[in-house]
Amino acid sequence: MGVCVRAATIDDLWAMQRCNLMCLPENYQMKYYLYHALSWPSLLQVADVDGAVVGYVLAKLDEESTTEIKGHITSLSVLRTHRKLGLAATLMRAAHRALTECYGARDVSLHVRVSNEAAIHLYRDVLAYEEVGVEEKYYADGENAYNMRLTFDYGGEDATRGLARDAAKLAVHA
Amino acid sequence: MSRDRHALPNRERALFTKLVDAYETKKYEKGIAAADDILRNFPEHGETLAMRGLIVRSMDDGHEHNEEAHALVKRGIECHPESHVCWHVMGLVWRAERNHVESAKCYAQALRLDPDNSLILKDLSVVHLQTRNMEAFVKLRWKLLSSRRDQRASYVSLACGLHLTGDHDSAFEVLESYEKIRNAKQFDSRGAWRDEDPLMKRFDASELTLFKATLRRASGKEKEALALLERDEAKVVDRVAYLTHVGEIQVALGMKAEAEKTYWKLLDRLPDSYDYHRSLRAVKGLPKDVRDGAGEISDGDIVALKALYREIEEKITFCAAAKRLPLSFTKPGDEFDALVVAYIEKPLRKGVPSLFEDLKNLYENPAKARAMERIFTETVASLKSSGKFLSGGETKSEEGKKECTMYAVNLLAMHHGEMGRRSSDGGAKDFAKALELIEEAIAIDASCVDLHLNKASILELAGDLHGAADAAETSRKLDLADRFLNSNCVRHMMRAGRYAYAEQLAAIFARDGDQATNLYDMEATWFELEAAQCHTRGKKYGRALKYYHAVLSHFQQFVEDQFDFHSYCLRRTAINSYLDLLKVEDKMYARQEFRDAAKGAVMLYVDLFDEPPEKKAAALEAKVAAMSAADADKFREELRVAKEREDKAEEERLAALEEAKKVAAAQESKNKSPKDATKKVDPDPLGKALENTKEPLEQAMKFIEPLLLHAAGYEETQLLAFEVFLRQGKPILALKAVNEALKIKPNSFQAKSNAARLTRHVEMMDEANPMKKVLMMQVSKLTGNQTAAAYAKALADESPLNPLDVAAVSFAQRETADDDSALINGAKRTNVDCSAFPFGSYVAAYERYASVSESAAEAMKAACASAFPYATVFGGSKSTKRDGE
Ligand SMILES: CC(C)(COP(=O)(O)OP(=O)(O)OC[C@H]1O[C@@H](n2cnc3c(N)ncnc32)[C@H](O)[C@@H]1OP(=O)(O)O)[C@@H](O)C(=O)NCCC(=O)NCCS
Repeated sequence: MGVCVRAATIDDLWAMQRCNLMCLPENYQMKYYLYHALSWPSLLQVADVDGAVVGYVLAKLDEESTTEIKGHITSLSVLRTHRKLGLAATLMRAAHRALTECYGARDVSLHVRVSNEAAIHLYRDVLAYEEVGVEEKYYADGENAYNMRLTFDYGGEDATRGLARDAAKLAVHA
Repeated sequence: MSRDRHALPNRERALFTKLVDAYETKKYEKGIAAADDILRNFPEHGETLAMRGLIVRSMDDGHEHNEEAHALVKRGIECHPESHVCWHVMGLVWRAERNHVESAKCYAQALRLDPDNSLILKDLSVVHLQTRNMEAFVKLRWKLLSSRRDQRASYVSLACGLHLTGDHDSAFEVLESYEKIRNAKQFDSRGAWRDEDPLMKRFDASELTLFKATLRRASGKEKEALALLERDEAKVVDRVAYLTHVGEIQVALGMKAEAEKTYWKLLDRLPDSYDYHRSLRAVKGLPKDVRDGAGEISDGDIVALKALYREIEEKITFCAAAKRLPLSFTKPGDEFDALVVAYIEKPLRKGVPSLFEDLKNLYENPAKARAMERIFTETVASLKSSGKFLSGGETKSEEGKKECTMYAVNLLAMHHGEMGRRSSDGGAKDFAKALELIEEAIAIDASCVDLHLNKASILELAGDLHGAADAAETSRKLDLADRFLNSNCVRHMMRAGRYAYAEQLAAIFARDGDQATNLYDMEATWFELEAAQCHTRGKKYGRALKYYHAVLSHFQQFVEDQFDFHSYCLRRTAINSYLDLLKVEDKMYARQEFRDAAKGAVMLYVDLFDEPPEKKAAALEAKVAAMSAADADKFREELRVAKEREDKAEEERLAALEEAKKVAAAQESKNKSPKDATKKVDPDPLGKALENTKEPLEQAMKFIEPLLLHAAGYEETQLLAFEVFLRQGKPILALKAVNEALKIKPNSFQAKSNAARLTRHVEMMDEANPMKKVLMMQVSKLTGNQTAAAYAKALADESPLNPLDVAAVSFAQRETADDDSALINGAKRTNVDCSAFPFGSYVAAYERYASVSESAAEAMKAACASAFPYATVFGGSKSTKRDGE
């Protein structure tokens, strides 16, 4: 079968860490993955092929924001052998859905290297993020980061509940 | 002793408070100063001595002052044995060393002296969780609840404990009573409920509801669980978790129509989550597993599946599975062909080099593999001749035609690579074809990174390690900013034995201030495993062992990592993931990476035991002594030159790393303030101490023990344990390992070979040894009363097919350690059937022979070289050669 994209479990964290180490220079110790999974369990997603993790998104709530609930993408990557299959987009959509549905997050933000064309295309053109600023020398090697943000559109629904939407779907399948 | 002896005057009492504060706020220097101030006048003040010890330990990253810390605390206890503070502190010092058992003893003693001290109660309860002493945990938690009825964590913790001891109903009641008290607004006057984050309140309530459902389900009350979930639906914000529970319950209760709706809702959220696809199919009475090779699907079911996936495609947006799964459940034939033709066109136009990965598991079905070969070949031909896809779709421009052709040729190349891997005769023909095609694609556009990546993977499948490494290097150079290309190249370089270069490459993305790399700090087990295996093959055992021990220490850390999360989760109420965490932690050492490390390390230690470095050196001396003077001189000169070359390479390696460090440090200081924590220099970077250990088997046990703890159910664990126990002269444990292995895999040639080896061991035991008779009785049950030699021969006559089994049986036939003939015969018996056994098992068998006998390794090479002409290990004729090899 093709590639499965699903909510991550604790058991997946080690494979996520490995995938991160293969793909990105910004790495974290296991404790940090555990911290994510045990603080915002619904926000982590993985792509797997027959049980082997080939991509992940590690998302969280912005802890500095104490008045409003905001999401943040800590890390996203897909093994090069599985890129351009649409996995990153699917992973990100799943994270967005969890951010809105579980937490009623107002928006979600992330940093991306200004040279990372693939990722910028994904965020800006496919997922409709906006560039809201540049952070000078954000990365350890001195590269700048774009700060990008997506504000969620609840279309008048109660932000924290997906109930209305579910009801609509239910009618479809009734 | 009177209490007064320990009482301090006002000034010192204030200082003591300061001391405790300083510890808690990590102002250690201040703490030491305060302690010393007190001790000047009261040198025997126990609690001060103990606190000083604790601070000494806390300041000590490198564990160098561990003894001093212990001595201070011990002295403190001697001066004031009835102080709960002293005992509590002793527990904390053990805790810093991760010795939870000792730590628990000290806390318990402290509690005997001060039974209601909630701080100690909490510390002890966390240790109970860490050591899974759940009964004790529950007992403590009851006690804590009675004193802390205004904290939700009190209830949640107790409920968790009860759940983990299997008392799900009591756990449920505790949570219910919490909610009752909470709703009755009891304790509100005392400043409301503690540990509730206003932003997270909704989430916490949600977790609690899910936990309650888990508890009901754990005691088999599915109906109650469902009623509860439906009643409290509005409380649950984690919809995926909610619906997953509901779906499972509905399935369990046979509520098919309702379950179907639930799975539609889940697919709406996670359109490509295969679990939900499986469940949806199952509730509709359709096959759960639609993978190729999973079993025949009836025609009627196929029709229904088609309809279902059409519906999914219409209703669920962004669902890749809706297009992909029909390829799996459609039978080979015209319809399948049409699906493939349509499926591949868009990605080929878009230039998706990973298209093949997406199709790979269709190859379980040989008819589909043949169909794809035909379609891909025709697509290439059609694109080349007319610029059209098989659908008739045109490519827009000459450029487009070229590009689509390139990706189609790439796809066909990958196809042949896979066919090579699956072929029964080693696959040389398909690999040749695959390589020819990938070169053709590269000739169209040599700057396309992924083509080189794919070339590397084809060469790797064929066994050409240097060729693969060179191709990976080409891909890396085409996009230096992509870490994946770097990591992949590092991996290939190490597999090809080019460690020094691999290490330099890895450092590019892992520089960290004055460290050569941060790979250890970042727990890069993949790198360490590759490095260890690379060094093993290069016979640099010390270094290999260093890397294996690095993996071990990461896993010890992973087990330790949970410690801080016990109280964190119970306070924050991420209970459901927390319960998962405990389960995962209890199987930590069964994870593949650890099992690989353990296997590598144990086999090295076992070989070092059989042939310690001194014995090797002596053998070499003997060899030289037997030579004529001229030959001996020549031989010595050769050795000298080889050593010089190696030393020079090592010097260059270190110089390159040093250079890289400087560059990184310069960059670091430009971008960030330099780090203050200076890393300690590794006193033994080459692992000499590990290699020259006098206790290789004790070292091996460091890996075996955790395996037996968490991974006893794997055959491999029992086989490894056997190797160690037999050499330790512990035949009873070795026997147990054989029996366990046979329980796991009754026909295991490897376990039976071990039975033969154990029998030989028992046969050679001293007649006077009373154990001999007992053991003989036991082993003869395994061998059917045969001698070791006869039993081993019988095994060989059964003609095992797997190269690893053949090797195991040959080892069992060996009469003495210097006896090569059985091994050589075994290697010669190797038969090549790659459709049954992967290439990797031939390589593993080869490495097994090579670790003890050069002649057997040569025989294995000879047996495999023609089937695997690309294989570097077997010196295959088509494998890429490097200078000096
Ligand atoms: C960025 C990354 C996650 C994208 O993963 P992916 O699974 O290949 O992305 P998708 O297949 O979902 O592609 C999403 C979109 O991006 C486009 N895209 C992906 N890779 C691209 C590339 N190299 N160049 C141009 N566009 C690209 C896709 O075509 C698709 O757009 P479309 O729908 O308009 O066709 C992946 O390239 C990656 O892991 N890179 C390394 C790690 C990284 O940079 N992470 C981001 C850190 S902020």
